[in-house]
Order: sequence, then structure tokens, then C-alpha cells
Amino acid sequence: MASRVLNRREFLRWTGVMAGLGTLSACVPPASAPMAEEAAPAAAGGITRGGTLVHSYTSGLGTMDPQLTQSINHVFYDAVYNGLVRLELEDTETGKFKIVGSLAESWEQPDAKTIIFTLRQGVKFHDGSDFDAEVAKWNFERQRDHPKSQRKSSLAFIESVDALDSHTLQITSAKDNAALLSTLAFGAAGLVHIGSKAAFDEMGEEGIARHGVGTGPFRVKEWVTDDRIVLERNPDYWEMGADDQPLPYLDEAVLRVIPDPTVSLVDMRAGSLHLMELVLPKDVETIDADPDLRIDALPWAGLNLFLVGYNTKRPPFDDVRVRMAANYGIDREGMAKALGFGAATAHYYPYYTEGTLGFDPSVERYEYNPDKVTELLTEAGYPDGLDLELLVIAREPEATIGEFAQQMWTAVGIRTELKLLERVAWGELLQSTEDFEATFWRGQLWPSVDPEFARPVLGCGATSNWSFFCDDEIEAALDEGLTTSDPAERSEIYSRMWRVVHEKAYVSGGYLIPSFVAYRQEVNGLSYNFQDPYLGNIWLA
Amino acid sequence: MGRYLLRRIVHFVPVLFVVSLIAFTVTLLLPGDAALAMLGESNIHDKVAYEAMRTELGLDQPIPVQYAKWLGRALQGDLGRSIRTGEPVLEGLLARLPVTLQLTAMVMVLALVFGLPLGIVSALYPNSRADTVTTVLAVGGAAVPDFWLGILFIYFFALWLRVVPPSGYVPLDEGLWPNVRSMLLPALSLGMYLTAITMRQTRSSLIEVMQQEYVTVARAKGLRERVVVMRHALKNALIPVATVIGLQVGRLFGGAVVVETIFALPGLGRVAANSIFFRDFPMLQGAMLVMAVGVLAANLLTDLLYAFADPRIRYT
Repeated sequence: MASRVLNRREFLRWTGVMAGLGTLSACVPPASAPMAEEAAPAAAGGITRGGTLVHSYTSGLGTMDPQLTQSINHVFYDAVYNGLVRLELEDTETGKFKIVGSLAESWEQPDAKTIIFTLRQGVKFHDGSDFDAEVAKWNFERQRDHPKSQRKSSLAFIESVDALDSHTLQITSAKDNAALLSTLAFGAAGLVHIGSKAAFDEMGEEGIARHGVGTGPFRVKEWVTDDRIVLERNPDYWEMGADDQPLPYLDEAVLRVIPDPTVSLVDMRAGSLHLMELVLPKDVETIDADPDLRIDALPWAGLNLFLVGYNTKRPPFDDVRVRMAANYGIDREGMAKALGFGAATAHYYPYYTEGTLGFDPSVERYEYNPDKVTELLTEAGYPDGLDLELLVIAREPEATIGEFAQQMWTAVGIRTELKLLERVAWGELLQSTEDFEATFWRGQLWPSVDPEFARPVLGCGATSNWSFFCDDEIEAALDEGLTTSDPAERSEIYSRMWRVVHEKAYVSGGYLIPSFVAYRQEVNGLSYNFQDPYLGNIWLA
Repeated sequence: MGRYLLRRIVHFVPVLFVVSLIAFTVTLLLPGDAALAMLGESNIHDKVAYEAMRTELGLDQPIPVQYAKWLGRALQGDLGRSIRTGEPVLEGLLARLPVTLQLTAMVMVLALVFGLPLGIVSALYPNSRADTVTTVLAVGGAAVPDFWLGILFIYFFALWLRVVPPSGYVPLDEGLWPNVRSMLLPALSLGMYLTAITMRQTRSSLIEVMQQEYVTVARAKGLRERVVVMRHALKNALIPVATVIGLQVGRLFGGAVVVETIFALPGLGRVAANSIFFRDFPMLQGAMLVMAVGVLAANLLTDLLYAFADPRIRYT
């Protein structure tokens, strides 16, 4: 017993001491919640420089490498990297944007296959290396060719990338491409975020995955995986602010990972968070009622469009009449009302809407019509209705939407069973055209983006064509639209394409919920790079 | 004592071997594979890239070969690299370990600080009003799920009272109090169940001991009731309490998965959950191993604590 550090009595006494400490800690006077750092007063032209902005993500980054990321949230990448051009949102209501230069000062298109960018000179990466045409070329080729690149198919049209001199870059398409510039620009800060080749050479792929080096307004200070990324002001940033000093206005930006949006909202209301995305529709009213908070609705953005894909490779959905019946069986108004917390609207088209090039309002919509469902199913050889297994990702809101769809379709004779699968297992099943009948997912709607962007979802064998259709008319329209430069002609071509998509009922739209971005009232100058908040112009006051 | 410790630690080896087998097998049972998760949904139909990725990750090799290679590296302290984030697994786990350890420790302290005294009061005055109140608290604490409590606590303490931050972890090097404050709500949420169990176990154990003859003898000797309880009864009653607390460590690690996610704490539980979601198998296997070591160590510590509570117990 002599060797013991504590004897029994001491052990019990220790327990008592801990009890006392517990009581004491409960008596400590309340402290205020940690407020995000206040901005330092350095006002010029009404703008205050300094301070730390705290922003929240729901899911941590896997990699800082912008070309290999699977993240669809670009806030980090837009803050640390630049593209050659970017999409500046002009209208939050319609999603209308303009293409503005970023690392490219200007560009010209000598023919339908070629675009030549004049690059900004004197720009340095965060590691001190120079940005030039060779680095840009390396980035484009890596994004197009790397097996893990999520934009391989989007950039497959590029035949060659050439550095004509140190600040001139030529990109050549394999075919005439009327959407060349918008194709390159689409995707927040440009389709390709430019990273430092010198950093890659020094640290390798694993190195730049852990420490991103770009030319953007912020540079990486610290990354605690799945917890936070701390960004600090890039003192050598090339872009000037409204006060004629280099951007950004903030000293630091902290991107915190808070998996639960409900907790994020509490953090923001308590003052420890400035800006959050993925606001739940149920919380919109609470935010509206809070004088300290603001909210922006982006009705066209986010992953908030409910879509159903029908497996056209096997019965029953290889028959267009069954697909049409399923379409007539969707009570879109009811869904929007029941699932949208007052924020949703019924949406009758997949991928396109008013504002999309070629949209034709005269096309008859699939309004909810149980009689029509019965009629079409009988015609297709299912007079007693049919049994359907609907593949659903086992997470919210998909699971709830699935239950709604189950009741809705079963009521009109499409007896629906749900097959709930975890996300990766769901993806694995979609690899096979044989193992499912129909599935639904949340998709994006890009009203003002060129219809060429529908290629990955509508193209024959395309990566996200989860209905597995291969339609000659759609293929022809996509190719024709790409090589036609006259806007009126293109509108006519895509109008034809959308009509085919609609009439063949390959994919159904359901309802649409805006993407909401909420922020504290001290956040000023918030702008959007297409659909993501841009930190470079924000100042706190 | 030294020999006993050594023997127990040697016993860890076969247990860890079995855990490593389970950790490896479980990852094979999950639908979907790491190659698919790595390539992402955009490349879901790219069979060439998929096969190349399987080769790169070694998934095209026979399963026993994959296991042998993984075990061989693990024995040398190399648990591989995270498929999702590219960070070395061991480094990543060691960075997260303190968060979960601190959370577990605070839960234990809460259980002792509140569970033990309330259990004693309850046992000494059975069927009294105090006993009824503590019983209701205990049943409530054991029945209410920690994720629900977590959200409730966040609203109450962080939003209304504003005494603690709603979420996030403040490292110890930024100050003891900010660190403890950031962990109070998670510890309370996760600790409610253990506190309740401790309370109930202390109560029933102490009631049983108080009916033993040696307690009657102690009273007959004219000892004060406080002395009878604290010196004679409680120390014997503590043994089953220590057992229960020790056995709960595994459950705490499980609960940490939920609580760390709600409170946005970068701990082991969160990394385990993310690893399952993203099919980050090296990280998941590493996390399971580390948690298994934690449970084994907790059980060993429990056994050692018996000797503190009961002088008749000797370890040789």
C-alpha cells in the first residue's frame, strides 16, 4: 500500500473536492458569448477595415486543392484562389449574372473555337511565385485530365491550352463552341481556380491538398480538419477596394464547420457567427423577425430543386406513357405547401425554368391529374396500377420527401415502396442501370446559365444522366446549340430540346426552395460569386 | 502491482488483434467503396477512373493481403493517410484525441460530482421526498436522448442565458476557462445518462451495504452515522459504482459521435462519423483502434480503483 499515490481516504476527499469545484464553477458569473472580433475603426468612404468574419459550413472540406474538390461550396476557394474570370451576380431574384475579368484582364474570340485571354501582370501567389500563362495552362490541363477532377466532362471540349507568351493564354475548343466563354466562366470564380504550380512542385499533391496556395484575397493561416479554417488577409492582393486600397477589407475570416444548421443559427443569434449558408426553410421566419439578422433568398440557387429520374433502360419506365403517368401523379403544389414551410414553389420542369435560353411557356405542364394517370397506365398495360421501388438517399430532407412521394403516388395507383440507402451506397447503385426503377435527388437550377450546361445531365452516357436515356434529338440539339452563334437560332434549338425533355418525361421537376444565406446586420458589402457568398468585399461595422 | 499491470497490458495484444480484424472487416461490409467516394458523384460512371482508383488504393488486391499490409504498417505506427483529407491518420487522430478525452473526463467528473452525492442522499433517506426527486431526475436523465438534451441546452444556456458559447471547441492553450466553457454543454448533454446511472447504482449499492451486519456493528459501537456511512459503508458500495462507470466508457465514445457533431467539436467521435460517411477507411480503422485502446485502458483503471475502495483487494 505504501507505493500508492492516493489512499482511500484521499480518494474520497478528492471526490469531495471535485464536487466543490463543480459547485463553484456553477457559481461563476455569466460571461457573454464570444463575439466575433470587432472591426478596427479605419473608415474611408464609409467602409471600415479590419476585423474577423466568422462563417459556417455544414460539412468540412476534404481538400484545399480546388481542382480535385468534390465540394459544391466555393466560399473557401473563391477566397483563396482566383479564376481567369468570374460570374458576378447581378440579380438575386433571377440569378442573372455578368462575366467579369479576374486574373484575365480582357479576352477576345477570333473564331468560334478559340478564345485568347490577356492575363493580369504582376500578380503573385501567396507563396511569392509569379502568376503567368504557363501556370494557368498547367492548371487548366490538370483540371481537365486529372482522374479525380469533378469537372473532367465539363472541360473535355478543350482541345489545347497554349501559353502564347507570359501573359497571353489561348484555349482552343475541339469544335465550334458558342458558349466558350460562359463555359469557362461558369462555376463561381471561373471554372478553373488557379493554384500555384511552384507550391505543387514543392509540396506535391498531398501538400497542396492540405495547404492551398492561390492568388486570392485571403491566404490560409490554419486548418483544423472538420473544425475551422482560418484565413488571413493577403497583403499583396491585386484588386482594389472602394476606398482605393487593396482588398480585402477584413483582417481574417474564419470558416467554421458546424454540422447542424440549427446550431449555426443559434451561434449567429448569439453573435459568435456572422454568416451562414444552408438556412433551413423552417428558420426563415425566425431570422426575419430578428432585428440583428438579415437574410437573402436565392430562388434559383443551391441544391433545392426536387428531381425524379426514371430508369429508362428497364420496365416500367422504358415506356414514355408510364413516365408521363408518374409526372401527372406528382402533386407539386401540395408538395411545395407541405414541405416548403411557405418558402417553396411548385416547379414543373427539370433543369430549366423561365429565363433559361429556349424556355417556351406555351408547353403544356404536367398538372396533377389522377384520371390521366389511370388512363396512361391502362394504355401502357397497367390497368391495376403498378408497383414502384423508389431509391432514396437516407438523409434529410430526402427521406421526408420520399415519404411524401410514396403517399402521393400510391394514392394514384403507383404503389411506391421506398428503398432508403446511405449516400455512397446510393451512388453505387446508380452505377448500374439494372438495379433500380426510379430515384430522386436534389438538383440545381441555373436559369441564366447557358443550356450547354445541361450536357452532363442530358447527354448520352453523361456523368449525371441518372435516367440513362440516350436521345438522338437531344444530342443533336446540344451539338447544334454549341456550334451556332446566332442567339435567336440558339434559342430555337434549345426550345426544341427542352420540349423533347418535357414530352419524353425523362426527368420530373417537383418543387423549388430558394437557397437562403443569413448574416448579421454588421456584415456589409456581401456580394455573390454566382451562388456563393464572396468574402473579398465584406466589411464589418 | 507492476507485474499485474504488465500482465494486463500484455493481454491487450490479442484483444487489439481481434479489434483490428473487426475494424478491417466492418469497413468491407459497408456498401460502396473508398474508390467511389474518392472519385465523387461526377465520375460515378467513369469505369476507367474507378478501376485506376481501386488500384491506387490497393482495393484490387485480395482482402487478406490488404489486411496483412495494413496490419504490418500499423505495427510500425503507420496507420496510413486519410483518403478524404490526405492527412496522416495517426497525426489526425492524435490531434482529435484530447477533445474526446477531455469530454469523457468531464463527463466522469460530472457523474461523480452529482451522481455520487445524490445517490448517497437517496440511499440514506429511501422513499423520502429527496429520494423521489433524485429518482425522477435519474430516470429522466437516463431516458432523455443526448442529442435532444444538447439542442435544449444550447437554446437555454447559450441563447437565453448566454453563459456559454453555443458550439465549437476552444483549445486549452487559449485559456483554461474558455476551454472548459466550450466543453460544459457537451459534457452536460453526454453526462446526464452516466450521472443518472451513477446515482441509481450508488443508491442501490449503498442501501444493500447499509443492511450488512458490519454496519450494524459499527452503529452498535456508537459511531456517528456520518462515520458509519463514509468510512464503513460507502467504500464497499463504491466497487459496483466504479464497475458501472468503467463499463460506460465505451458508451461515452459512442455518444461522443452524436454530441461532438451537434456541438461541432473536432473529436474522435466526429472523425469516426465523417469517416463512415466519406468511406475514409484508414481513418475509420484508426479511430476504432484508438477507441478500443481507450476502453481497455478505462477497464484497467477501474480494476485498479477497486484497490483504493477496498483494502482487501490486492493485485499481484
